[in-house]
Amino acid sequence: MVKGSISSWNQKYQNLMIVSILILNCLAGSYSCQEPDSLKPPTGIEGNILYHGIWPDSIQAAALVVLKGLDEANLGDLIVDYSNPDYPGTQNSEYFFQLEPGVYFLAAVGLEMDPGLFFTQIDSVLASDNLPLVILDKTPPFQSVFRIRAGLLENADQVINF
Amino acid sequence: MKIIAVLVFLFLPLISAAQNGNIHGSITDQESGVPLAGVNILLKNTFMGTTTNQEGVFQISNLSSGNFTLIISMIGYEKKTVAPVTVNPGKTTELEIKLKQDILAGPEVIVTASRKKQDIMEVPLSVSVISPRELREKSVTDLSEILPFIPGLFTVNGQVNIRGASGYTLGAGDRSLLLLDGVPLLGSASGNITWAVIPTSEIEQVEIVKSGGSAVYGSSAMGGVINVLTRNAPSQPETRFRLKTGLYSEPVYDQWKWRETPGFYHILELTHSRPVGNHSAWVRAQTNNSDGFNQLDWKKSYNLTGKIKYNFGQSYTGSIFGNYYTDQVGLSSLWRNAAHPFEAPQGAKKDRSEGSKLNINGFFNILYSGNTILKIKSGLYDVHWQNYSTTNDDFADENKLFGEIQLSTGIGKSTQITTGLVVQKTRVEARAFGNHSSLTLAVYMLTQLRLLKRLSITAGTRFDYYTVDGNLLDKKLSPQLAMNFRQSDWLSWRASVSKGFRVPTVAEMFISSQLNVFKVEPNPDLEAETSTSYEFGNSIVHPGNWWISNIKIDGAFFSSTFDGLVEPILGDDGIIHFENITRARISGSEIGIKQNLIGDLIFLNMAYTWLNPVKINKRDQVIDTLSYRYRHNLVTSGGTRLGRFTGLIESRYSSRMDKVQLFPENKRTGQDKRVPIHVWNFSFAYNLRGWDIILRVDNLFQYYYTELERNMGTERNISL
Repeated sequence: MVKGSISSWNQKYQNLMIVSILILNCLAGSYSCQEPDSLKPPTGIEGNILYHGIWPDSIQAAALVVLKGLDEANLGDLIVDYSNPDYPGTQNSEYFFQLEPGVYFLAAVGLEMDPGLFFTQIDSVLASDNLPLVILDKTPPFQSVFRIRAGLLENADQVINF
Repeated sequence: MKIIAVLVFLFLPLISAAQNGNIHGSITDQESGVPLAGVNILLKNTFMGTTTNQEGVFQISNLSSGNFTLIISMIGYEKKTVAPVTVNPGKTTELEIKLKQDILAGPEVIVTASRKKQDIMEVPLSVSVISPRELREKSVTDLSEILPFIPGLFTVNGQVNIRGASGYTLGAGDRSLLLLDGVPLLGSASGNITWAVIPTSEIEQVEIVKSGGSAVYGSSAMGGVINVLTRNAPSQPETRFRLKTGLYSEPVYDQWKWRETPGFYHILELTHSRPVGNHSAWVRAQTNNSDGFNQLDWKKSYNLTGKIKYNFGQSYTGSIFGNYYTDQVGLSSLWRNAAHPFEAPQGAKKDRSEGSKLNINGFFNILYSGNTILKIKSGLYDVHWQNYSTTNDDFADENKLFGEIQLSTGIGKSTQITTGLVVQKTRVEARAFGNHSSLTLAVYMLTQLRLLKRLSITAGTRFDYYTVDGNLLDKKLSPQLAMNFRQSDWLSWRASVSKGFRVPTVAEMFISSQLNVFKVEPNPDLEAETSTSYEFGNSIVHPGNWWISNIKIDGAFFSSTFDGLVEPILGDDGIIHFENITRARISGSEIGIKQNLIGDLIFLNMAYTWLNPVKINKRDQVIDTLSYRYRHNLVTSGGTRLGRFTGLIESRYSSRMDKVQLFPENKRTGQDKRVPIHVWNFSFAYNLRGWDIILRVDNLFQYYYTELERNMGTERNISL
């Protein structure tokens, strides 16, 4: 197409289009320069879980839970987060909790239901009176207290004795 | 008797009496005088057109007498209009045309929307085209890298979305059909796309049709079609060598650092092209080694590709394309955790997958007159892969056979009919899916009518009959009605309404697997999903003036309503099934603007797409948001071409995903936080005596994001 050869192209449309294009470019450019919201390293705690002893038949998986208070009768309300479940027979695994700064308590629990089902229905399960969770006896539940400080990732291994 | 009839039909061009006139011509480069192969010639205000052969010669036969206007175009050359060209009965009008090089000249003709060459301004559907220059300037080695910069497109972990149709389907069931030279290239089991098998350095152009695909291409095309057209060898021998080497930056945070030395990648490629008599051929070998930006992103691959183009005179052309690809890749699924997002989960550090893919396509065209062409296409796509992992030892052997016969003919200057028959057979043997086969039989017809000089209507429909394991799964009719009104040489309007469908893949119906703590179980009762799509858009292509030139604007409003959309759903039973969700609607708009400023010194491009992807009930009330879709996508790029230098900076913004399926954000702890994507890239190119030297930095500011839960986006990498 030869520049300026189109008879139907008049100055009015040309100016309108050029102004529109420049405005759109300015808008796009300013939007592109917005303050980005990049992911950053999380604050929290991580470590290894070491299982000692024979896994009990009654549980389908084990996991660590982070609690914000000490009340075994009110466990559902106190759970802040839970680790990926380990299946019976596991000897060691890793755990990681991303947490806001504060004081928390760590406990090991056994799941008495299918882990997939548990995590799918986590809200309704935790709200129910009959939690399918059992505090694993030989762990030191409610003894493992830790403090999360801003910007830091704590490291602590946990031993679970069946 | 039947054989004689077929022979008469096939050799009709040789025995037909020419009562009408012909146009015969040659096209050469204005400066060098070298004949130009592959130049597009369209007859203005008709549906007729052709392409020059290896000697730069073309002929349009059987034309009624009168005056015609020829539109001549080719990527990298200035578009030329030749008029009037007078055709007399029984005579051949001879033309000698010279084209002037213009490196900024982009694609002007496409073939995908109506299965026939069309002026891009007369296409009744929304289409975007990627030129080889864009691929080269951005140093693209994997086509999926450039797709998010196209209006209406984005990717989720490599899965392409055209106007949000696909979302993320765990690698199964793309709603975008990938074609290589017009032949489907989706995996038989999952219907997925393997971008690595596409030879990006040998691409003539990539055409992306964003609506109405099923009426032309059937299942999987309901969300759109991406047609990769490979180049033919030039008329002069040519050898190309390409080395791309780069390194991934260390993560900016100490906590995320995971290796002692930077990760490197190297892509080495050698291509040789040459004419062989009247025919031409190219062959390309490529090796790709990458340490990856995360622990399981490593890759080793080898690729051998070749294409032979046959020219048996003006009436008979053919082509054979072959591609063998083999790779070993890290088998990545989720990161170790947010504190170590570049590391593999415990026990998965050596997980890998090995595979190979063989793709052979061929076509044979018989040109009966200026406007009647018979095309015969066939293709084989054979895929094998095996996972080696402590938790996933799946394997699959898949193959697909494809065949198509298409007849395209014109009735006078103002009517074009394209009809065809398609057969596709697939076979799958896989641990996760079992052993299955499918058969697709389809017939289609498209009619293009030019009602007025500037108004064209396209009406078409396709009937598909689909069986799985010998049982009828579905049969579907997919009609389409579309129009294009070319108000002036620089402005056109388009509108379309179409029905689409997609049959579920073997993977969606029969998968039995484990994804993290969730089981994925089969659902053999899945049905085909259907869609009804509307769109309205316009295109402006204007030369502008010295201050602002080469203006290209394309905008569209669109809406698609899906019935029985197949999505992976995590049920209350903790099991993932692929299910036909009731209804969904994706509506939105998109605009793409390209222009040059100050005498082509500066170029500026932007593309914005807005989507509203929602689940709806039978009364069209919104009940939820569809997962894995961005509501806002904005890409901008700008740069300068100064002699041999080209500098480019580009940004991509995608708003935070409203919804995901597997790991929603934990509001109490901040875990699985989702953020908008905000990535800047930079490149600098210099041409030195035929060598393109390109320095490119992707993710310049080391922005960290996830497209898919617990999968970190690509780290900054610098390549040369």
